[in-house]
Amino acid sequence: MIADLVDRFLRPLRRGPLTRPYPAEALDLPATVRGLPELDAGRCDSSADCVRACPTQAIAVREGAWTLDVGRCIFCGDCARACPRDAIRLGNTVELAARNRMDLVVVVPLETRR
Amino acid sequence: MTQIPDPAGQLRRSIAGRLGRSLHIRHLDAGSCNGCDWEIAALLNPYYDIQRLGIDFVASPRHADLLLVTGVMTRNLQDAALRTYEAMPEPRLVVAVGACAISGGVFAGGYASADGIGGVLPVDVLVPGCPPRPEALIQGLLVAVGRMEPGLPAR
Repeated sequence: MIADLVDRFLRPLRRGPLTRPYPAEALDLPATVRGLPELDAGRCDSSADCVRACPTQAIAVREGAWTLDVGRCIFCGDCARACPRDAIRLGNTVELAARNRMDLVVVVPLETRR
Repeated sequence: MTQIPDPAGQLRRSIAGRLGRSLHIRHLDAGSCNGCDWEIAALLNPYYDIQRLGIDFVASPRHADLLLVTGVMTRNLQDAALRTYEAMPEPRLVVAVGACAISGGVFAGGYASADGIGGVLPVDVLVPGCPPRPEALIQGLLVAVGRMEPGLPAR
């Protein structure tokens, strides 16, 4: 019992600093983190279900391109859930700061088929 | 995304080299839901410990180098936000935190919202997220002091 108490006392000392090394070291976020939505253009069939699902109108499909305004995106994942072909997934990229508003707009070209 | 391989000490010297002192931040809530504000508060906890980077928060815009703005910029707060900005000594930076401060986010188009702070204040850096993670905030601040590269990841 005493040994257990001593161990509990020593544990924080053995663990070392709690502070994350970011930005000195790259981020290592778990896969469950909802980061930048990524489109697999090969799977997209331009059904625009993601456009209708987006609560902040961040997504648009027009002129052969899928565009995402990261400045509007709230990273909810509704687009990924709405997609019938699983073409969208939320990656774990969170370092998205930009100096210009237009730098926050992601444009993914879509090949037109049929 | 560029990662900087240098220890925190070098970063601290870089901030000091640009500003002649450490980076002092004034946080301004311009009609936020408090989500972003909690992430900003988390920057000061032992886990993120932003003070190791030579960055600290101050209680007055008169002491600040950087204005960290959260929220949609409600019409009621436009005057106050502008006066806060004008009270800051130069050089001054403005960082918009969260989808609301950038575009209005989920509140875009509301009658009481200016749809982001861009129409009221000159924004230097935009940090997207709802709310942005503390790491994203750190990156935004480092972009603001010109230490890290901005932008979306290369695809």
